[in-house]
Amino acid sequence: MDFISNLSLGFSVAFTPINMVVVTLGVIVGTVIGALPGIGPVAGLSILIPLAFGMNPTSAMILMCGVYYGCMYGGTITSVLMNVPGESSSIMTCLDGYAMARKGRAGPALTIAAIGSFVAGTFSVVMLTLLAPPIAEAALRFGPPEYFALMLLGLSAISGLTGTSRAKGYAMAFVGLALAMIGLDPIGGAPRYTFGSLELMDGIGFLPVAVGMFGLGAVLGMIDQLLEIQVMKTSLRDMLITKQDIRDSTMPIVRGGIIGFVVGVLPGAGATIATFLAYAAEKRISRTPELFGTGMIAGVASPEAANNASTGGAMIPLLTLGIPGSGTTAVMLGVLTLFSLQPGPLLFSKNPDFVWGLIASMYIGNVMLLVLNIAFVPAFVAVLRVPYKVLAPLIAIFCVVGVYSVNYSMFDLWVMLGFGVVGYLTNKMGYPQAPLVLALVLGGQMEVSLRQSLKMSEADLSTFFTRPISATIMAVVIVIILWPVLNRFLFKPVSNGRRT
Amino acid sequence: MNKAETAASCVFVAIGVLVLLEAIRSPYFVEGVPGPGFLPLWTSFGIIGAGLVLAVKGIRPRLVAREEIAWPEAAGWRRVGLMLGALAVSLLLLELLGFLVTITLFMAVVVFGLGVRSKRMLASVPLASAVGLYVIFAVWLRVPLPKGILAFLG
Repeated sequence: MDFISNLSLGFSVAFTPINMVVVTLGVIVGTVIGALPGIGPVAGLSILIPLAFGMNPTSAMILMCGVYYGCMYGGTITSVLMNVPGESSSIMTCLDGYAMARKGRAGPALTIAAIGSFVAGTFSVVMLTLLAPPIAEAALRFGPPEYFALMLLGLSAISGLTGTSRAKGYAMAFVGLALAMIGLDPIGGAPRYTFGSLELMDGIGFLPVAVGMFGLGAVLGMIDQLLEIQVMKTSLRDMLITKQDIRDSTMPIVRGGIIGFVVGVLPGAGATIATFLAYAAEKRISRTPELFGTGMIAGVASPEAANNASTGGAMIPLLTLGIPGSGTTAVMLGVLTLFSLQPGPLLFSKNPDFVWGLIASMYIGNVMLLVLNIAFVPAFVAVLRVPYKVLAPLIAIFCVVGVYSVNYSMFDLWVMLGFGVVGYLTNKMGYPQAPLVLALVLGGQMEVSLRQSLKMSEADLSTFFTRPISATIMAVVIVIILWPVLNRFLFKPVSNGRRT
Repeated sequence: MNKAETAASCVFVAIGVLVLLEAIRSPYFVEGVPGPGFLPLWTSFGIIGAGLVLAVKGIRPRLVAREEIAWPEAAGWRRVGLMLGALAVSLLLLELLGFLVTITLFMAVVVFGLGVRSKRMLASVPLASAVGLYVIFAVWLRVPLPKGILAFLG
């Protein structure tokens, strides 16, 4: 009953004219951003934050979510037509999608990707609708130790599981924490790391850092090796699929959707890992695994379903616990804090129209994306033909205006420029950026929870290990941190090089 | 030795030391509970520790599977430098010249510098971009963008 009443409230919010315009804008912009190589969902969201800041919180988050799952759809277009993944979660789609395109089957690959994305995306929103309220209710019992443990879990997972080097992930996370400490001490109010600067008293804003690292960093990455985009032509008639295509894709979509949703909920995992797992699972189950990579439609359907399903999953910890598990949801958390909204269990009771309006908009957005990505693919392809020589400076200016528009601060613009350089260099050198931004977003809250917990326990650290929920979470954190050591002891290599 | 990785690790260690020096100036405990210096101190240890691990890996790259860094060629560096330089100059001029003039100049310089030679594009893209963004932010979203020398237009 709650399910229906919550959704009716949500749809009454989502169906207002402004929100319908915003969700349409979000999914279109998201598809374009997802399609452009070099700009993923995090960069796209970061660039658009200032635009969202001019709206009311519900419309702003509807826009952000539309861009988020729109990106997942958009990444497919370049993967299939150019063999260039629009973003990292579309890498697996290149393998069979581009092979299908070379056989003259680009249209069916794009159609099945759109259908798979729609089915799995909708499934994940249904799961979000069903699971979010009980999780939020359970989270009402959480105290500072549980919150600190959860934030530590999100941070250690994203640092330890993303990127190619754990040390790089942890280094970035610690620097993010240090940045979060600039300004006034959140409990006592004493200035820290301000070096006498008035601007630093307010701390380093999340917005200039995120826009600089993700947005400007992506722009610099675009122009250091200007891509000559060669796109295969496709028309609406080419998009038709056969009954056999549907039969071959049904179960891969179901499996991809389930894998994507579960992985999406887990902190640190995200859409990219979901697609790798879904593709690997499909190949393992298949009777003809040797044909994967040669244009198997299941190799397109499953990862595409997985990356879309992960978006709904990723929204669960963000909305119910206020803990983002990825760079993209960290940016969303940052946007919510700009509006003085605190995601977490109380969000569902204090701002039901916001939460359910947002969730309802995700149903609408998925339907829109299905139509857009089948009927308007040629239009999105046309956008890809805008030369990067024009697009790159335009995006850079969008970053500048965007950051300026929030605080009207020239200092923020210099911070953005500095972090643009940092974003570019770290990206080149394989330092993951999400841990830094996540630590910056969570740092203040994390310090408050830590110090409150230790105040409650009179500085006894065992408080984190004596309460059942925080103890369980801390155990997971320890496993994640010690995994390289545990892995070496538990799975000793045998003489022929295979691991036991 | 991988010079870029080693240099990056040194930067992390230096940041860690800076964080540490400031952390020890704040009280670690206040009335028996963690004070403003508590988390900064542990964070500085984390940065220094991670930096040292990265330094060892940079100095002895045989310890890890090496991935080549795809640095751009000279022309790529020039384009990156052009973008950053043009952005820095634009930030300096933004309040003086105003949004419309600065952004038109920025776009013209960067689009030309990136290799666009079509006169029609060079004439239309900078102005259209500046006016388009002005309409979105200043007119639609009512952001008070700097007017600079065009302030007399109201």
